[in-house]
Amino acid sequence: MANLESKNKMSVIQLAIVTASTCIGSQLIIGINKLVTEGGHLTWLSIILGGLLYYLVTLLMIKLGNEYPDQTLVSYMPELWGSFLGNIVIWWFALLFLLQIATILTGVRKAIVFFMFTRTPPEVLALGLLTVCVYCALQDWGTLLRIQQFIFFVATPVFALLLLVSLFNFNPENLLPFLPKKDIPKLLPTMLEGWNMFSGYEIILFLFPLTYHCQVSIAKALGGAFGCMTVAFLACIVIAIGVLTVNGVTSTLYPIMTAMSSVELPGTFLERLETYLVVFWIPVVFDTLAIFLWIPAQVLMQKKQYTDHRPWVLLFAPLIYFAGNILDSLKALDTADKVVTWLGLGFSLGVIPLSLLLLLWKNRGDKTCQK
Amino acid sequence: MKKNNAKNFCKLSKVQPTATHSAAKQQLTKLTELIAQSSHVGKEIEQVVASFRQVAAPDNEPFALSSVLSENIPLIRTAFEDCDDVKFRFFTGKGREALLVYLDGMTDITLLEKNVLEILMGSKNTANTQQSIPIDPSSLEKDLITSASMTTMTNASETLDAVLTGNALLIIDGINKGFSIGSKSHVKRAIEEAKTEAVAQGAHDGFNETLSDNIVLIRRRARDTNMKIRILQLGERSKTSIALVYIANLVKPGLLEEIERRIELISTDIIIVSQTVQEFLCEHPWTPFPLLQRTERPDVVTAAIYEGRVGILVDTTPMALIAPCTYNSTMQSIDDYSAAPVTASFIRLLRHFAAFISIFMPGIYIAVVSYHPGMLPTSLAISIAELRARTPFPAFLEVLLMLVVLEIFQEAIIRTPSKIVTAASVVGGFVIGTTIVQAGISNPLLVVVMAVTAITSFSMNYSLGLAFRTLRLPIILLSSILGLYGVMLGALAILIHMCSLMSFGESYIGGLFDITLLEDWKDALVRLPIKFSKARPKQYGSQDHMRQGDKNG
Repeated sequence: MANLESKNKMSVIQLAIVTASTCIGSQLIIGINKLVTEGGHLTWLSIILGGLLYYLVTLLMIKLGNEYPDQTLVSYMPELWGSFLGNIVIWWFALLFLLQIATILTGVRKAIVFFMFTRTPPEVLALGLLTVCVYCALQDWGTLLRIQQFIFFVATPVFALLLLVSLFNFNPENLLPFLPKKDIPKLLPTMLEGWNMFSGYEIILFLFPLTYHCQVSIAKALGGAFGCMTVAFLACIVIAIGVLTVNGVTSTLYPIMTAMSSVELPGTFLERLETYLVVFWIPVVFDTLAIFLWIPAQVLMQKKQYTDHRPWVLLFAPLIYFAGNILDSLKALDTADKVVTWLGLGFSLGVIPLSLLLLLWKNRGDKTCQK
Repeated sequence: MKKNNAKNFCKLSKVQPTATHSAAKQQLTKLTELIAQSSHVGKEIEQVVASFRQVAAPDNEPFALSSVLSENIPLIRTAFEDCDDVKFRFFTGKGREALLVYLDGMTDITLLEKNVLEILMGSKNTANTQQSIPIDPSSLEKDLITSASMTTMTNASETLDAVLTGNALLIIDGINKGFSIGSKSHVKRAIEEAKTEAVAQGAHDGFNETLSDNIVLIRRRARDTNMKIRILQLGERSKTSIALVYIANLVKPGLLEEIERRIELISTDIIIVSQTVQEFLCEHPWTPFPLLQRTERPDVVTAAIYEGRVGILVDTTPMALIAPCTYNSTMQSIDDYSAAPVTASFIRLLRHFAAFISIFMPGIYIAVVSYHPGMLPTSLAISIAELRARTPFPAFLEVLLMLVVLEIFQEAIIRTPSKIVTAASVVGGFVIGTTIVQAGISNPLLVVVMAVTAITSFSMNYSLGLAFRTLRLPIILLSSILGLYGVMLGALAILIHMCSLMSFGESYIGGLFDITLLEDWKDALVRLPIKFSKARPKQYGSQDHMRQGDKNG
């Protein structure tokens, strides 16, 4: 079929959709509690600032990608950092996604058990979701791209619509005080904690060579994606606090679900709306997990010079499953979450800016030589 | 001088006393005989020369045609041994022995009599019956045979094929070639309404089992010289004709070549149904989804080829195939274009909803009843619990039982003679449906659920409906194990599978919600008015993206 066009490339808009749909995932349900506990009434502001901060990191990634337009980080990081450090960066990148899958899978299965099942073992639920994610990650990029778009246009809007039903119990007074001075010192830690919400945008580093440029600039498109994400997270936080108050949110493991469960729509057929929300949350989480599994498999495929990424997916699947089982206790999960956050922050706020600085320094060196 | 000359000439009888008139007559007769004999000898020498020139039959040929008719006869008779429907008509036409071979029942004998026998044997009014047939086959074709369709063939296999396709084979002594005289005439079904794709307002003609008729139905819809029809043969033994129909200046570059390449790779002895061709052409033979669009409607094929796709017509089957095929194209109906855009859009959305229901409804029933009864209003949950209390089976077994009954019922209805279909429907629908509830085997709600499920699967393309019917079982299993979570996992698995499917390089689901194909959304889930759809679907990659006549608005 060489004469028929390849379907494995994507437009800038598609990259933005993939980024948004990857980042909007599990944390909508399982991450709000931790974030509000950290940020209090100022969580909303920290999310906005966090959005700006991580968009700034994204701009740095775009800059890096523009310097190596047809290469992924697997090929240019060793060039920049040298063989040893470059390999550390690559493994760091892959490990970041793998650890995230394990923590997300554990968090998700706990939430599903909590709201949908009482007797089904959580391991069975995790196995089911992981199996579907593995099946998805075994596919080529074109397939993944179609799935991401389908979910973005079908499941995510339904999820958002259901979420908005919580507004029936919304009490704006709960948001007050709007800008408490005592919470201002918490702003920076909450912004950093907010990485958990935005995590996943690092995929841009890998997907950049798969993108073809069109009329819309990549920075603008990804700006739109970050705007979309920020609005979604902000809406979740505002709804959760507006329905449950800050104290209510901090004392509830899954505040959005709790807010939803209190909603009643008299005269309609719908009851137990939180079950509907969980059902439509599953595909939203699924697309995040599938990408998170596909990316490290691709990274290692390129790193080890394989022609197929599938053996790596099949290798990671049992490792993730057992890692998820190890993280079953809340304490272990919390520790793993912290490790992942620091790894992610280190990569985003450390490795990316340093790589760019290194590149600029090297470029300057080259220019000096040319002179 | 003149006198001298006159003296030199005298009566023959004076010079030769034996040269009388009678003797001269005798000599003349002898001479005529000698000429006739020499002509005969000449013919024989010709045949001997031809037989010397004759090469042995190639490996893939059953025999080589000889210029001696008597040598050809046993060879042809051997090829058609025990074929009592093959008729041999020997005759002498214009001084030569000739043989006409045809299939009884597949050949129009009146045509043969008129175009071949009368011409060669000479009718009562024809005077020059003794004139010898010209040896040159081209002059035979040009000057004598009046049939509109006549082909000269040198290969024995071609001549045998000609007979088997319904043409008559003419072999003349002295010519080492066969002539296929077009005289096909066989029993066939008339052009009727498509059995599996009936429409309310569209055209009512559907394909039948005859390739030439089906081609005509398409040709009638577009008087376009760019519409090309390439006929190939498939099947080592059946030699079934397959027509590739496409628009030369629209078809996606490479698509036709790819289809031909795949057809060339097909190795089978017989093609009975178009599904056989489909399975050979598809990239994913294990999928339940139809990766080539199947249709009985000539208007659907015509519309498809004007989108840059290729139609594949298979002789002896009314089901045409269209490549590439997408989920969207399968979900569309000609009726969508006969109705107002708003109505058509509403119906299309309804059809997609029906597709969802036809797969997931039984699974959702099991999940809600067994795992999440809290999602139902309390009164309804109590009512269902009461109904279910009368049945001995768990929800999964109950649904499985009803599903099996439903599938058997659907299969039975398809294969039931039309006269007793109504009776079978009453027995199946009312009697079994009612008694199964009264006997306490199932509850009325489940009967409603299964009835709705069955009806929804009929609201779309039959092949796609069958695919959805197949997918019900795994969804039921998943929902019985994991409730709604299982249903959602099943839905995701189906989505992944559908997104991974490719039909001739095109994604099976790709156009749906693909942001780069935004233009195609105008005629996908909904249908905008025609004036907004000036372009052909981008997904199929036609050479001319704009529909002709729309360039100037």
